[in-house]
Amino acid sequence: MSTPTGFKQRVADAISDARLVRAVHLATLHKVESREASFLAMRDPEAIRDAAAQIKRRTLRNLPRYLEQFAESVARRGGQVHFAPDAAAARRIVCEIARASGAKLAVKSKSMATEEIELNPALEAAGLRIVETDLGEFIVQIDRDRPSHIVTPIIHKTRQQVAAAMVRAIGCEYTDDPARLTQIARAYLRDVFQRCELGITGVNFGVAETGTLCICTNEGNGRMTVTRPRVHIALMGIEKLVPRLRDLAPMLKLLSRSSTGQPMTVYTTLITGPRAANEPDGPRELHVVLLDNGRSRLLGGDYESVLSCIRCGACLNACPVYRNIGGHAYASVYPGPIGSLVTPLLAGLHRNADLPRASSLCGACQAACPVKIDIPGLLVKLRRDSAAAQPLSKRAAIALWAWLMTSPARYEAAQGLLPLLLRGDADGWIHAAPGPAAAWTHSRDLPAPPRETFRSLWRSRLQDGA
Amino acid sequence: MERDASRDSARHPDARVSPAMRAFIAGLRRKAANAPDDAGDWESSQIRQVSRADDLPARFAVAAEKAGAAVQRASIETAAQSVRSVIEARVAQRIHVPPCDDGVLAGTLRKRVLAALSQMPVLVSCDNADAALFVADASVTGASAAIAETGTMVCTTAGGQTRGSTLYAPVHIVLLGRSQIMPDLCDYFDEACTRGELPSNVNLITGPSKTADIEGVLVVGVHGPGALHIVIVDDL
Repeated sequence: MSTPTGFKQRVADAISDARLVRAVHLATLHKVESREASFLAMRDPEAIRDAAAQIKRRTLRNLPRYLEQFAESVARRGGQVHFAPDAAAARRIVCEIARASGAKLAVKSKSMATEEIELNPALEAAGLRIVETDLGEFIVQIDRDRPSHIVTPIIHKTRQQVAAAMVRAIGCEYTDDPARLTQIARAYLRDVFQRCELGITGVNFGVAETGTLCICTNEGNGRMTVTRPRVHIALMGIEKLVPRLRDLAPMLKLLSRSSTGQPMTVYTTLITGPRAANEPDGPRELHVVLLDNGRSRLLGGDYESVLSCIRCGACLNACPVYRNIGGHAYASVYPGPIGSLVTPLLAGLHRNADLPRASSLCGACQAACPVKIDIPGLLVKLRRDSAAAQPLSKRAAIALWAWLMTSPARYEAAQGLLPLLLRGDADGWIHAAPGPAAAWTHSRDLPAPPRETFRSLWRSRLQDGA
Repeated sequence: MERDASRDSARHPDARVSPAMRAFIAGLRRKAANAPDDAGDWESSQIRQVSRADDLPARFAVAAEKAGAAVQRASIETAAQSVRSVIEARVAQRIHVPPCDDGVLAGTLRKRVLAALSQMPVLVSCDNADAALFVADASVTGASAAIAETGTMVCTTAGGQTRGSTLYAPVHIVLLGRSQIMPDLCDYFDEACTRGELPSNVNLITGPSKTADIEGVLVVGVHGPGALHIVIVDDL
């Protein structure tokens, strides 16, 4: 678990953890290669990205209409639709459904929305046992850790750490063979699935036209979670909709290719209502909890397109910052480039002012984004918006900088002062700059300011030429 | 799973949209009344990867094998033998064949498969009860449709099919008619939109259950079948 240290300290700790950096590097680079290969194999991938971006834009522009259509469709097929304005309300609604169902044992398939609302501790406080069923999330749970990637939650762990956690939590014999570890988890979770009474999932896409929930998993835990329990609760952000069933085609073509490079997730499950009268298995109750938690504030504003995100994780894998610091350093449920937008925008800039700065603005995230979100552009905008949250000294320094940079005369005067303020050592480099500039020379050297500036050279050349 | 049957009858009258949901939508509508809908629409032709002109069974087989499935071609005459050889190779003892199927595992083909199984030293069950499903070493089912682009099969609960029979057993054997293979994902959704009500549960299945959560190492058979065998019946 993280300690409540500052962002810079967490980054410093992460970078000095060679094992972590290596693990995250290998895994993300592999995913980047797989993603690129799968896009190269497609005919006109740009057209699919355009279609997907268009679908999400249309959805957001008409959200009230599609939300209403979705809610009515879910209810028409026998599901119940709930609304949670914030995380506390979502926890309350889920706990209330759980209490009414009389369930004691609940299973969950991987869901970032449930992480966002911190659901597990609330359910445990309400007296339920909740078991994560995605292999990575199961290991996170038994090791009392946190996910560090939105698709592959234990990207930061070695097989030995996984093995130790399994031995500790379920008392199996030690093995660090991933196949054996998976079989042990399968057997353990089979037993849980046989007895569970409540299933909780997230939602990848909700279809307004039919009230269908689309859930994608590779392991099949999502399918088990919507097959075994008597009651199914699906938690979804209000932005997860697409208008029509056919809109799933471009979204699904992009989701797993962007995520892992697979043309399709192994199991893409479409759920429309609880089990029908003639069906032998499946939940008898379906509850859909729609979560706002700050999303509707972004509608119609500059940051609306952030709500297009389909949580594929491609921007995390592509990001040189994420690759070097891993997910935990962000201390944010949604790490990486998109998380540096989502977390401050949903939870407030005040506590997350560092996150928009956790980017070199290289643009790799935007190039990887299947729905073409302008992540670097929005990060810059968010930095500007967050200026008010900066300390007075920093704001004053930046105001002074702006004042100097916006007039040629002032700029030149400042240039003239520079050699007096910053003196190089005998080798022509500054190794330890004074005052606030020390941060710059902490990890690199700065060339000493030349006595003659480009401007003065230019003027003398012009005079010579004349 | 049948502990509380009384809940079943009470479920549909309960189904509703909460007042909080309705109030939220009304509030959003007031706020967003003037938002322009300036996004265009997309055409299937823009995003299609595979067309009717392609060799669909061959494209399907390549994609399914890439996803980790094993694909065989057969005829109505030889399909039962293909099923038999998979079961022998996998040394499966208990075989589940669900009682109903909305694909090709009906009529003559079903009879032939059951006849072939009855000549083998295996236990065959057509029972949908949990006890039968969870002990099966292999299940043999049909599929509603298939998609060549991605090597995907579609298995649904239409007609009262069980969710468990394509999920619990470690080996899943699927019989697929050649004519069931559609070119592209968008063809499947375009057609599914015109078929009337969706079944409560539709699964697009692409390869065996898998994970790469531990150090990125690929492992099959996490919660679903670790082996997926597809027999394409060319004359169906």
